[in-house]
Amino acid sequence: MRLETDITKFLPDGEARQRLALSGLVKATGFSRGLVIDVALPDRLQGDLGADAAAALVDGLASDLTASGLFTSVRSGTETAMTADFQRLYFPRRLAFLSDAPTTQIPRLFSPEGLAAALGRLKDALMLPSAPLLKRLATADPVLSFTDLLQRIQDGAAKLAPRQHAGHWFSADGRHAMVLTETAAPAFDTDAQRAAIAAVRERFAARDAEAGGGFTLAFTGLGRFVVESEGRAKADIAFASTAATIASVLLFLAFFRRLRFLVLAFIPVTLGVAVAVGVLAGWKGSIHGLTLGFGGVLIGAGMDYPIHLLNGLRAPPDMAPGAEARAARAMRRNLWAGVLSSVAGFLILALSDYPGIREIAAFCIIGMLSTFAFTTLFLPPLRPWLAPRTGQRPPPASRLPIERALAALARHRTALLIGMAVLALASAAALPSLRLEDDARALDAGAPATLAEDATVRSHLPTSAFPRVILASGADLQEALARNDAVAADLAARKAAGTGPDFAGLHPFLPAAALQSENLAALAALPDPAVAVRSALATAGFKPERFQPFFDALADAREGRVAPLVPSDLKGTALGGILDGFTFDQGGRSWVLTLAGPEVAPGDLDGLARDDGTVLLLDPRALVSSLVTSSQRQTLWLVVAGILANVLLIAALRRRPRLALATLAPTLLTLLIVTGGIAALGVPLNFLHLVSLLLILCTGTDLGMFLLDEDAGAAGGAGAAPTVLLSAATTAVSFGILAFCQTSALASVGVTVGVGSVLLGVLTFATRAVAHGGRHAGS
Amino acid sequence: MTLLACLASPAMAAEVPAAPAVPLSQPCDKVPGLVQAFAEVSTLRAAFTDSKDIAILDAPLVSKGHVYYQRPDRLHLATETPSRQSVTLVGTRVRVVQEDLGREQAMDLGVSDVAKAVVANILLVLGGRIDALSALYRCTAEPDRDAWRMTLVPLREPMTKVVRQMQVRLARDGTLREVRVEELDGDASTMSFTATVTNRPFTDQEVRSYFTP
Repeated sequence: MRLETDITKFLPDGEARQRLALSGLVKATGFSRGLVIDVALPDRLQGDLGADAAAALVDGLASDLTASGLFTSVRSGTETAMTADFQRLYFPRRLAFLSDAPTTQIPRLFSPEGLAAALGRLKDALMLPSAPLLKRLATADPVLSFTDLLQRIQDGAAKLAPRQHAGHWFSADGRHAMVLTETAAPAFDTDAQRAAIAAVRERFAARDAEAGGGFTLAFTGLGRFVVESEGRAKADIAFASTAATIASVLLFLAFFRRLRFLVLAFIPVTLGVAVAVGVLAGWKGSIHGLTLGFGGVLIGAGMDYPIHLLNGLRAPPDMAPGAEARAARAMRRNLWAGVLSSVAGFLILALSDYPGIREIAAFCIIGMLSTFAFTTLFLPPLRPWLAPRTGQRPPPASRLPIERALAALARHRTALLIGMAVLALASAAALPSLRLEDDARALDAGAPATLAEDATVRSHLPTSAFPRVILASGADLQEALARNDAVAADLAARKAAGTGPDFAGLHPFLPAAALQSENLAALAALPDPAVAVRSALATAGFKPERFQPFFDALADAREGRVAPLVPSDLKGTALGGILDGFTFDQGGRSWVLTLAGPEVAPGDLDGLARDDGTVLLLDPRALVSSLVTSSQRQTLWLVVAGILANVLLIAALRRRPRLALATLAPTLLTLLIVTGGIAALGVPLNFLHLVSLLLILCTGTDLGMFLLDEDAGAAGGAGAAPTVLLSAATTAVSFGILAFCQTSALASVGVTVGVGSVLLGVLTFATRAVAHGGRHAGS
Repeated sequence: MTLLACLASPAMAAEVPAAPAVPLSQPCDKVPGLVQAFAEVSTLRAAFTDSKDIAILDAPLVSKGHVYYQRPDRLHLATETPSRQSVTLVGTRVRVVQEDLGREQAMDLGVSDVAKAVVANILLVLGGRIDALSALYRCTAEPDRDAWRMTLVPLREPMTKVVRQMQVRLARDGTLREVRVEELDGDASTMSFTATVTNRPFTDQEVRSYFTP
């Protein structure tokens, strides 16, 4: 069985989730496919000297990591071959990249006015200090097509490249050397990710020592979060289940001081949880950490069945005619009511859009039904063995002054009713301020130190300025590239108009072959442009005879000797990584991405996405948050439906409205107070709070059924008080323990159910006092 | 990868002849008073006239404007005629604004050793860093009219692949008069300085205006 820790697995299915999966394939930012390593320079090293030392360190580190076999790619700067490859691939094709609108712009460029303007630009450029470099190209490219192409690329994809020093990537302030790695194993292979992280730490320590010390390592990446999240989940599960078990054992022994009862109470629960784990593992092959954390403490809630049944089996028989049979029927009815109300609640919750909620619901249903089955099948045959022995001291629970306490409470019946009414009104008044959680990070926030490190490393990379992703897809890569060209044109128009964000993408680097062919065709359609160029050169003060390389290039382009650049040309070259970072295949389609900056105005990219899904706009962080909130309202209604189902079930079982009301009142009041409390404290309600409310409902129904049942003989009504008290206490403690978990979602469940269970116990006894005073059924 | 990296690529380099012989003269550090006169400059303001003699052009390309330098690595070169354009350098970050064409581009010199070396040498000359120049060039000097003429012949790549020699003319008080750069392909540029003011601190407003990359 595999333990899942990805919080996004809890998010709803559907189109948005598919988009999230797509965003996970975005490689250009470097965070989803490996680790981004940041080596900070010590203060003692400044300027080029410091940068050189950092470059030497990261070279060594990169070499070590590559040799470890744990990484498929370790890059600390632009490959030296990249410039040469770029020249080799692009310079001969520069005229195929002339324009995004070749049919109109190329004739304009080669008109007398266009050429005069282009040559004027060349002269201006030759006046700059970069002239010695530029003039090397001038005779082969007087219209500066290659320079413009480079500029477009620099304005596009190259904006995502970090600052460089001696071929190495650095942060903008030059104080952090950056290394982008790609791990051999996927991010969710925690063992491999753990090994990769250990290798980074260990090899950095060695290289830092070699370099004289003082360098600081920071790194981030999905793999790190997954490893830490799994660590937290495992620690939480181990802690919660162990602590819940110990607490339940201690409480049980404190109440009953009978070891054999303890064993008998735990066997059904342990088997129930084991069956739930087994079924889910066999069905899905994996269980989410939150489900196990939640299910691990279900042991406390599941103990209710064996506790109540044991209490009933041990109760002294009532000598009145038919009383024993009546008590047995009442016990069965109450146990069935308990399990049916729980199953009904969780069955309704299983309709949730959240796969994680469905998993928890399935776990709870299977666990509770199994526990119930084991309890009712195995415990009754043991009744002769369970009866109190002669001379045996009564358990401590029987000495609890419950009847006196109930009688005392009953004397203040009016005050109790007023108190409960005030609590209900105050809680109801707080409800309008209730808000739903909209931040996925609240469910499983990483360790603060890791989050801070992540933010620091991200801020050192230019990709942090481009949080949004636009994906263009096609049946093949050329179709996707063509759509990406249209996206780039649209974005450029918006940016030029000041209504769109900055963006960076593949378009200037690799437009569709069709667009390149259009450029070449537009050149071929010109009536002998060489004549116009010669004339323009002479007019502008250039020596036309020096420009033969350009006339040759023009002839090659016009006569079909220039082939468009296609993706396969880039494969295996130093430029292949750029193509790889901006494209991927998913769902039988090819995808090309463009990164966009933050909103310059609300809806600045409206209309860019296409209804047919061929162009998608993603904001991964907002997407996760929208997914978190998208179905919470639905889950809220499902919980309300679960409450209604329980109300109807209890009403049907109780038959008498007053008794049904008394049975349900403590639970409904507890739900109201807990929800009002969450609202009053300003805590956003997440879907796990909602599950918790349902759990309180199930527990409350159990308590009410037993404590307010006057037909159950010595094990019902006030006679059930010790076991009701034990049930409430085990539930409160078991779930309260979750409040100390590291996983935020589990902690929120712990607080909610822990507080809810305590309230439930108090209110159930208060209701009992209000409804029946301290009277025992038989008294 | 950036513009400069590609422009400076060896693949683009023209076939060039070997470095020429250097005229006999005294090493810079042996010329009495030169080091003291060409002292370190913390700031510099000057008007310039730049004449570029390029083989592909019928006539020299002449431009005029102002230069502003702040030690150690800030430079603002504003060309005013025949067209308005400026180059701003801070560290390795460069911004080029061609006002008449409405174009602007930013780049990082870190990607190109050649571009970085060219700019570093300009800064060393403007800053009067004869000590640093002597490490990179064979520096000789001889008396010239009212002052000195320094000749700098590059000793190391990448400058040996681009520049044949630089000649720096100084006034007797060490004020920079002219820098002539002769390239290996025979092209040359001569930048003359007038109205030179050195070591007058820039105001905050001037710093923002001239040195924001």
